[in-house]
Amino acid sequence: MKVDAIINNRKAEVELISKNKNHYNIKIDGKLYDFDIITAGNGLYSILYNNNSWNIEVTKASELNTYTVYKFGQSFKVEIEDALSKYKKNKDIGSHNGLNNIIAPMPGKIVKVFVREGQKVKVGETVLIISAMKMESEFKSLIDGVVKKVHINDNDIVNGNQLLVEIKAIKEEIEETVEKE
Amino acid sequence: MIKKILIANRGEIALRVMRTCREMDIKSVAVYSEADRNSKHVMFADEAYFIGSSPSNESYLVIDKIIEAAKATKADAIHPGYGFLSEKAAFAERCKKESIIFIGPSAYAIDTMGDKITARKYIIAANVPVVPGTTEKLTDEKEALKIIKEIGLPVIIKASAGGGGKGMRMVKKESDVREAIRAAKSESLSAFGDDSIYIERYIESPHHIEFQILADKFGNTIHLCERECSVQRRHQKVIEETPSVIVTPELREKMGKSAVAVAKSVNYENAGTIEFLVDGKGNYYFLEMNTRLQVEHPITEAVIGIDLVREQINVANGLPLTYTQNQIKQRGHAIECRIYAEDPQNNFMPCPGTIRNITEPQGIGVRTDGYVYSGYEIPIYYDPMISKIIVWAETRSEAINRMKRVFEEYKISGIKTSIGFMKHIMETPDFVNGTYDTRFIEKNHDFLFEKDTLIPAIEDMAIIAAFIEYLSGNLEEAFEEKKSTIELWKSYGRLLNSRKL
Repeated sequence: MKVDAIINNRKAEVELISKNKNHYNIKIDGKLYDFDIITAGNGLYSILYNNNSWNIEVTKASELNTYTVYKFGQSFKVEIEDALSKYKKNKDIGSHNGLNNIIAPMPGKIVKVFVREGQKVKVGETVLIISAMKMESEFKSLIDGVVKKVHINDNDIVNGNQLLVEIKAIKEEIEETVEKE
Repeated sequence: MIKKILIANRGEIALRVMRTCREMDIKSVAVYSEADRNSKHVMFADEAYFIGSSPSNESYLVIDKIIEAAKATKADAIHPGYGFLSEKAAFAERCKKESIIFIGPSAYAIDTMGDKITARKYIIAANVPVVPGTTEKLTDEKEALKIIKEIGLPVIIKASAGGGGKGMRMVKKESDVREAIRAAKSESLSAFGDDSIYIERYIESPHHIEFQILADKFGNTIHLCERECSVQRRHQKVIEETPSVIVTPELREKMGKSAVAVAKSVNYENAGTIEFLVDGKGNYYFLEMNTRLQVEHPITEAVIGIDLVREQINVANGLPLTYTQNQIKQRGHAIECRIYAEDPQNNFMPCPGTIRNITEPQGIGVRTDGYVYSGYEIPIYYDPMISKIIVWAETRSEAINRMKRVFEEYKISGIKTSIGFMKHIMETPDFVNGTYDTRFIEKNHDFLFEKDTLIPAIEDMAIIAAFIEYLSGNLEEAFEEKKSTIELWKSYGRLLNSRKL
């Protein structure tokens, strides 16, 4: 079984060669790793490799086949790219073009939404303000476009990764009109 | 004698105060907002009283609600912790009126120290140095020149009506003085319609050093030495240590005496902190007084060997201080790191969310003052600080190494935290050598904010762990065998989770 693993801009080829109970043989970019791995559940892994002891915690991130790995007080995203996720990614690329979706990066409260549906926005224009833990953060449009949908109101409590506002590029709008004609 | 204390706070400081209450056989009352029903301080307390909806201005900041809670639970005293109502003179006054003991100073002391201009007058009268400068508005250029001669360069010329840096000029050389005054005046006139200015000595790269004091009803006032708080980000303390590398025994004695004089000038009672700016030559200037327990008080407890909350309660009980000045001796070295739910790589954006797993550091010389637990969702309404790590060791370098060890052990998953950033600070040469001041983070920016990288060997281990986790979810596709070890792990994991429920 072969997949790609993406970490810190590196794409590595990962191949499962064999396994026997806790013992695994895995090739990463051609380098063979023969190790012993156990977990007590909850994503806490203990790896013994060349008699070195490694403790790593893994949690599932929100994106498909993506994991957050915790080590040394820092966290890293690792994406395992298999055939299915490759297919899904290719499918999604088309529909995401020209779209600027504003997604809540953290749970918080909407202080103010500055845009209405159908309104034109410019690059850098503040779309909304979220407050979390005594700090307010402004969210700006990354593109020149038209507000397609506003999913929230002032004072709403939102979750992390929640879709807030969809903005569509103006250029595409024109192209579409041309097509229709 | 106080038998029951209501803690008008939440989070780690509420727990901190309750621990001492329990040791003193005093009952504790927690107050909690809607968002805090599942907060640890509610579970730790003997009694808990609901005080309203989640935003603090509808709960923890409402004096009436706190007083109502104290009366309903028959608490005879209130400990305000830090933040919230701790420095509101009106709250101390109200407690007094309702015959509830406020564990802190008088409303008069809070008021006097809270107003910067009034405080400055008291401090000057107590013969404690303040940043040299003018206290009255100036418009005359000759007068301004005369004053600059008196206070010495470098100076800052500020517009009286100023704000946002407009009309502000820093002058280092004598030849630039005249022009700077004119520029500041004209800029100030055009921006604010007022050309009056004031002048202050510019303290270059100062240290921020504070002194802990304790005072009782009988006029006994002692200091408990200094805390070095120069590692700051946007004027917020990040790391504190004691003793300070730059404070000599002579300077400590001098500053300690000044701190005591400041407290005495307002007949201060209970615990307080006097903050000073200290320049490279050992000159120090009064900055402000904090009329409450500080976030960083545990490092003083570590090197002096005193429970400050116990002393606060004793003083509130009308007892004399347990210690005299000559019994106060520093022993060893202590460092505190504040851990926040925030993302240092993304402009320190707060990261509330649910804690998946938390493993707190243990072992010799470690104290954790925190309040979160596995499965706890950090609310969006309050401060993002989740814990404080305090280490103690015989020497400063041992303490730094201990802190580094602690950060290897301290594991929090599910949210982003500042643990990695703190570890970077412990490795920064300026911190290790003790050659830092309030410009530390700015000066070491590149080192501190270097993108998190992993050496390839660790990167491969991370890939292995993620890959195995991936396999455990996509197992049937990977292997024919059904009852594999991974399956067993999974059921073990489920078993663990169900036990938690």
